[in-house]
Amino acid sequence: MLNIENLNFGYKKNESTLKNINLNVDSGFTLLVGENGSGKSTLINCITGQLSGSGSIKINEIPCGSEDYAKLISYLPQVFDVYPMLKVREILEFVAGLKGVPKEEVKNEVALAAQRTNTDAFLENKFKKCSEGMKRRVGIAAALMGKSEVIILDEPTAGVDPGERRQFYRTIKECFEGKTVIISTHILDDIESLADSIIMLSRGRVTCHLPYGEFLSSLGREATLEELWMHYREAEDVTVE
Amino acid sequence: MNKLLFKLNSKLIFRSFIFYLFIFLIFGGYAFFSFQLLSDSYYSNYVVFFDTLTFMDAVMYVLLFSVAVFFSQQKNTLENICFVPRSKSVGVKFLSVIVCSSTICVIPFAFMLISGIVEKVGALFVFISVVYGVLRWLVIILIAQTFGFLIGYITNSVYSYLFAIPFTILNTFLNEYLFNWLFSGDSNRMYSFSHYFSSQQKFAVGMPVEYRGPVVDTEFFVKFLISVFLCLTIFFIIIQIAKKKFTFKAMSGAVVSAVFLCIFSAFYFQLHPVRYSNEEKLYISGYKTQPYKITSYSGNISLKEWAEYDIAVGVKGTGDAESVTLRIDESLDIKSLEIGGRTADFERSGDLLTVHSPDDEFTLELRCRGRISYVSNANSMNIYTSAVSCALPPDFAFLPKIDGDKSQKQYDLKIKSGNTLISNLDMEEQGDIYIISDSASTACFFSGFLTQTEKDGITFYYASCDKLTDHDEIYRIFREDSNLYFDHEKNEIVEGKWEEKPKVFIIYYMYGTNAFAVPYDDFVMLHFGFTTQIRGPIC
Amino acid sequence: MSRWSKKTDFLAVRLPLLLLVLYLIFMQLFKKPFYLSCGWTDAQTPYADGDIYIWLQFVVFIFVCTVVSFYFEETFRLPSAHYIGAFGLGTFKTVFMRYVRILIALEAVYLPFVVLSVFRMNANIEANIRNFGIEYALLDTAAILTQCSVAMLFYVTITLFLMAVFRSRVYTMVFLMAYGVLEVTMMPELLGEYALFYGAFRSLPELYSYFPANTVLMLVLTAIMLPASLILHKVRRA
Repeated sequence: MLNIENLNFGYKKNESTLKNINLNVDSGFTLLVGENGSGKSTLINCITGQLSGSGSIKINEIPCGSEDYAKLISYLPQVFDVYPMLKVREILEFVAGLKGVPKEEVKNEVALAAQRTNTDAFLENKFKKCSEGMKRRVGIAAALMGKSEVIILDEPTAGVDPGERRQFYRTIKECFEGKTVIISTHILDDIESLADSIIMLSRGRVTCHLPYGEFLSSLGREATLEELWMHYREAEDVTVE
Repeated sequence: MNKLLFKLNSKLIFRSFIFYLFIFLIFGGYAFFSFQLLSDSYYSNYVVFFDTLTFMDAVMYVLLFSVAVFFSQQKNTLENICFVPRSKSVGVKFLSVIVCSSTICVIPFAFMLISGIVEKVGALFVFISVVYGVLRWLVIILIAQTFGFLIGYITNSVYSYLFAIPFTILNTFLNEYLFNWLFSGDSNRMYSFSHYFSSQQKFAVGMPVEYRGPVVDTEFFVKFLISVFLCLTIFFIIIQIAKKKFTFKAMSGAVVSAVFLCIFSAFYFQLHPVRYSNEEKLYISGYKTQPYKITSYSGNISLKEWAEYDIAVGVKGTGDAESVTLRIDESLDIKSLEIGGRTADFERSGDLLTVHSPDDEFTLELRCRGRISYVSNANSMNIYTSAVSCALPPDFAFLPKIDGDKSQKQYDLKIKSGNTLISNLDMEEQGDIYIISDSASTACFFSGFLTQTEKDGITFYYASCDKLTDHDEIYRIFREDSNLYFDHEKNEIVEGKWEEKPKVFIIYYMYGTNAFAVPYDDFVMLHFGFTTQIRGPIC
Repeated sequence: MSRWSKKTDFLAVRLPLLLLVLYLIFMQLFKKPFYLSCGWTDAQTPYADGDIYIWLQFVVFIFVCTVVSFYFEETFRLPSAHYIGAFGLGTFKTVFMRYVRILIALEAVYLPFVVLSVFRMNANIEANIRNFGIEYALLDTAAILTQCSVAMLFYVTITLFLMAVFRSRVYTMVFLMAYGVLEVTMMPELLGEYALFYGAFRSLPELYSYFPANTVLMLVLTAIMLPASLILHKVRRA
């Protein structure tokens, strides 16, 4: 479980990009939604430890910033532009090594991850030769390395065609079953296909954190995702489960 | 983690186009210019040829600087998604760039090794030349890439490549223009600062002492250590910048490295050769003549970089005097000076040593130690002592002398030398000890890669590593064709033929003689020619 | 009909161009670049020796390479080249016309300073005449203008050519800087009067000649490299 308590962060001194964030995220697919500039990327960067704000972030009581914490979390950024001259296999082996996978198990782990993400045919290809969809699958394979409990995917389906997107949903559902997956997205299709719960951010605050079913009926009537989006974008109060 | 990061960075570096471009330009440049130079000129040995390519050091500097800038500005996406701390990914990248670039040291290594075997110069010469070539290039690599990475990382802009030019000017022989302007008139300071900042060998265009071989001495190693500590200092500074907040470890690493850098820098300036004038060190005509003469020298000398002298000097009075002034080079520190077992009453000023209230005849028991390192006005480091070579010419006060004393002296010395030793005095060689028991009016010692031949009762001494010079022809020209020679007592060129001597030293160029022969009582010094000659009739 | 924005072009290179202008002004603050030692050869032709070509050619070369490589950066980069092609802009408009434009702009900035430099050098020669009482020959402004304008033409062309080859301003600048350092060191001995900066380093500048050997060589190489650059751009974009 991912715990965030009283997280505040500002890029400048008298500015708060994130205000008093309190979240407990269980296993399952949690979609992090919000308009541009709401603080999604900042929140993700705080969770991954690239930014440090006040408050605490823990995974299974292990605080953010420690080496053990880094091994429990996997991150796939929006732009996965890793070194183009490396082969896919080399990228996955590198990630496996840093995730603490024992040397003798690296090869097997890479092969397994490649199989699960349908990238085994491309292991010897240079990364720059891979298509965009293939690159994302390599990113997912990298996220499978080690014993990560929390998987963060930042806008993973941006720029992906509908067919590839469907394939992508299948893949991540199979690969990350039982793990805590947080997906940041603008795409409503992602919410419909993947969400077990929703976190909505607006102007640096959490305005909604509900299981998907409750989110859909939270307005007391049938509402479209666009209407729900607009409602929680303007909300001041936090609606949590 | 560090091992994995290093492996990753090595793969990235060795597969990058800029590294290919760098390797291609270095290999291509050296191959092209080697071919050009070899088709134009002969070289006395392969180290001289290697030094002729010193201009390529500046090109290498620009390329190394640019490679470092390139990698300093690479994004670390893969490391970031694995949550590698930024300071670690930057630090390992910095070290990886240097290590991977250092693989080009295989060029000087292979060149020196193969050439040494082909030219049959002997194991010691080959070993020294390999160390010389590899460490020289490592110094360039360390300095160029340290600055390149720092500039590239801090500015994070394409404009940082343009800094390659000013840094190349500062860190190569091109800085002489700058320091000439800064220290106009003071050539000692000019050259010491120029060589300190330069990543190249000192006095690259000076006349080399050929039998010395590559100049690998304490100063050379100190230069290498300076580049290492500069690299470490900047490494810790980069780590500190990457961490974005003050960390004691990084700052203390930077401070400690900087302290060592300062210490070795100060040491370097101390070791830099001092410029000498012939009138002060070699051709002193009757300065401060004394009513004393030296009758004998006996004792032990250990010839190494900080040479040690434990000698007894017999002095005999020829008139009345309350004191006697001897000349002994100021770079030798006197540990003890005794007469008859008691400390002598003396004072020292520069090269002059004045002993008060001496008897008519007495023996000075002198123990001294020092590093002799002088460079002539022609930028030739031709008075020095080192572990494998020395040049202690006649008239130079490495043993106490009395100005104007031309009497015969008895030399009974044991000299320990790390390489072949030659002298105008007769010697018996026992391993690395040379036993001298001979008399002469002056003495000289030269050690290094030397050899000798005998012809018509004359012993010729010359550099064993010199494949170019026709020594017979040199002797013939000086003996038969020339009608002038240099009189070392009068410090002037004199018309006439000099008498044949039993020993001929065709070893190095004594500046101030205009390359004329310098005859002494029982030997003559001749200029050996040049280390390179344009293709044509060899002389 | 698609047009290329001249304003955007110059905004892209405003900083290196400004640095070039500042350098040319800065150079005029010193006297040293304009000192000449004059004389007559055995064949009674005039000569003048000085450092002027270090300041007026070598250093300018570095700035010009930077300006031109920045100017053509996006033109040759593959994704940008395809994108630009989608606007119906061919090689002639994308490369040649812009080449002419940047060349004219650089010459317009550079040549007035060349004229000013000749004026100052002639003032130095006149001072030498007064001091030594020897009738030295004054420099012909047109001759030096010709040499410098051809040099500028060559610098722009070689940078364009290398951009077409490497498709990257970084590799272009690195290559040219490395060559520049060679010119400071070995090239004058190797190439003699055909060295790119003949007259700047350890050689006598040909200040009285319209077309010394290196200028002729630059013209010939320009005639080869310019069409080669255009062909490379056309072929690689296809």
